[in-house]
Amino acid sequence: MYFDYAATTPPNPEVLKTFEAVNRDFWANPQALHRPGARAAALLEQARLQVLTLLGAKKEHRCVFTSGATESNNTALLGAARANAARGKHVITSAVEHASVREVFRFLESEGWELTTLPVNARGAVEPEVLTAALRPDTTLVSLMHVNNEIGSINDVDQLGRVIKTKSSALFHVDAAQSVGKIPLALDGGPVDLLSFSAHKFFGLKGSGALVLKNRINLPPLLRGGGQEEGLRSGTTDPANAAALAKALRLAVEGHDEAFARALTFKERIVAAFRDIPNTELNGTLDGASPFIINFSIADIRPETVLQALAEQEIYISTVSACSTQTATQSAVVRALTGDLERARTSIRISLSALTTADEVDALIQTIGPLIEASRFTRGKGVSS
Amino acid sequence: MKYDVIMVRLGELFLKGKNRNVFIDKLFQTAKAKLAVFPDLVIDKTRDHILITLRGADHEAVVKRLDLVFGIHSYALGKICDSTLEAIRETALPVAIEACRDGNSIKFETRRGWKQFPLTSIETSQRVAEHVGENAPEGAIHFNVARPDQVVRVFIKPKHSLVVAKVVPASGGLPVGLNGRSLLMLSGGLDSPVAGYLMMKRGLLLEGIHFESPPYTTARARQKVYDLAEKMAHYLPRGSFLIHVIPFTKLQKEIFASVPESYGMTVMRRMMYRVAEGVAESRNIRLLSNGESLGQVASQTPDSMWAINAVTDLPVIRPVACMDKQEIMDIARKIDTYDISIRPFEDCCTVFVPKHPVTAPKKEKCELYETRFDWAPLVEACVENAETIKIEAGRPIALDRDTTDEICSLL
Repeated sequence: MYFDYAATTPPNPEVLKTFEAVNRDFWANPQALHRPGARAAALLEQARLQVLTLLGAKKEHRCVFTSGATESNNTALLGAARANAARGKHVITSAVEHASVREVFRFLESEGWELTTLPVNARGAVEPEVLTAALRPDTTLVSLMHVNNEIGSINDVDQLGRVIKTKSSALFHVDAAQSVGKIPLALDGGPVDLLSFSAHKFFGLKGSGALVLKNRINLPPLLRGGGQEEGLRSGTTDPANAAALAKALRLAVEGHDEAFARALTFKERIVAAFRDIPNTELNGTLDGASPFIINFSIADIRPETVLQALAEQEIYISTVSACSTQTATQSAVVRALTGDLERARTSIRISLSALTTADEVDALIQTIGPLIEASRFTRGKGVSS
Repeated sequence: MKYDVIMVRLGELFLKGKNRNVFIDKLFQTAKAKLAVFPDLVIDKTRDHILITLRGADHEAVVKRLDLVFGIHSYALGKICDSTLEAIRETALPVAIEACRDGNSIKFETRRGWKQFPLTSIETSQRVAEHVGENAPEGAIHFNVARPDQVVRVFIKPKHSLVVAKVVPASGGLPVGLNGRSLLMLSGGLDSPVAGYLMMKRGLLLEGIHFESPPYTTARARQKVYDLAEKMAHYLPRGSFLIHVIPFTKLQKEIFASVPESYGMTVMRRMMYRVAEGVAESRNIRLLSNGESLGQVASQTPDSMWAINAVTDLPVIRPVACMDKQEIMDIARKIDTYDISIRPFEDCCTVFVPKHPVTAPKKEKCELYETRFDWAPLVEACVENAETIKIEAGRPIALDRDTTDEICSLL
């Protein structure tokens, strides 16, 4: 039983079929002038158009296919910061961003940019007033995630974006890896300048993602070479990855109302079940957050212990975020949210998707309470990290 | 605000004396054809305007369609009501408030087409203004009878009356078809579709001529031209654009085999003009047009234009000759051809670009070089073998139909 969909999802079989068919019938280089090349290019452009249409971004935005949100974030942030360095070197992000945003800003800081890291409120979201206070005439870039990957908190991107647009001339980047295909965000007519996401978070393939950016924005690329993707991302563009992403996005968007409603009932049940387990605390909120992500701190137990014990029952959850488990012993997100080191050290994440069934949720609820009690008993109290 | 009627005001009518009715008819027919997609509209022609009763249709969508019709000066949006003073006063109130938004000042003007109406025009205006002044929220209305920003017009007719205020500028120009026809040289670049748009705006019906050099140019270049033609077809009254595709390979090869490289481009363009003249003649067209712009490339210097233009007696209009690239790009975006034009495929002009084209060619030299090969039959063959394709607005032709279907099934 898999409860780690925020880390990645299994590719939809339909998406795999598209990937295979494109590799069989449209494998030519889209830049080639011959007929196979033209066919591949037609497919690539149609996939691009479909992505923009599904994101409500057709009028004002374009789409660059990348290897995933990490690359999109790197391209967007480094590009936007560098392109506007002459105007100012102040950049803003929040304390709960994904490593692929956080680390890029840390790098920019080492290169001479001044970084303001905004705190989040009790829901895990950035307050507009806090953002307003941080904006300065030399602020050139603000990056705030749409849905947080560890606790599921949602930033009001439209409202925050409007603050940025009325108070400054900064570009607004949104890491939407946890929301695209799950929680709608219309881009045309809105304040978002740059949006990153990965296909594998919505039943697409790993190694595939996109950066959606406003038409008027041009960035220096990370990868130089043949000038593919309007010069923003050199390297032979893969029509199969692009088509698979477009297909996965269509399937996800078509089902997203239903998946959202179901996930919400599941989250309610799981949160209710944890209320009966002593010394556990929900990180984030039930209302106004992503129903797909649930985060708890379980006092006095190392999260790895819970993870291992559940794994023995073939129930798979995660600690912190899978992307940074190698180094982290605490969740920076939970720490920023609660200010509590102990809670940050003991957090686990349960994440759902459209594939999650009621039976799985039942099994999880029945197993986890006794299992936590048992672990506490055997481990005793003197747990160190 | 929800509007009931669009009053379409006609442009440049005052220039036309006896042709006025022809002009209005042409415009009326075109507008009617373009609005056929809204079956509920009622469209009436009056002496100096066209009145569209929306009957629930979205005024913005209707105006967007009307933007495809040249010869319209502006649209006035308004509401409809019974022909009683009471009803007119009630209807005028929200219209006036809307008109005064952004601090605009207004005055009322009445035209009493129905003389049985108990008040005179002036009295009506006064009574309506009085009502609006008394009933509008404090500060919502600014009157300025001497120099209003906007005139709110009341039209009194027997069956119903109109209160009209908000004026939206339209595309302008002259109704297409009023000024005859022109053959547009359509390369696939940014400039020629914009030139075509401007020609149509001056009331000309257009046909296109495109030179193709397979295998040096690809099917994608032809697709590009089809897609551009489709965009332009929207502005034509019948919504269809004829494009003559010229098989140019043989002639082009002969040119570059016989003429020094530096003169290749000049002679090639002379041949293109000759072919265009031949096609124009066969179509009874007396005017050529193209997207040449002064100073952009070697063929667009005054000397070069002179040397090239010398081969034809037909007038050649170059609507974008004096425009900046930015202006051209702005129009291309407006007419939706920009994204098509920037697709990176070779056309005839870019296939054999000489390294050092002559920028001040001599006509005599062109003539001398042309004696070196027997071009006349090749030009004739180009005209004769032209492939004529009809492109309909809203129905783009995909050259690779199989691929299109396949792609749809995969995504």
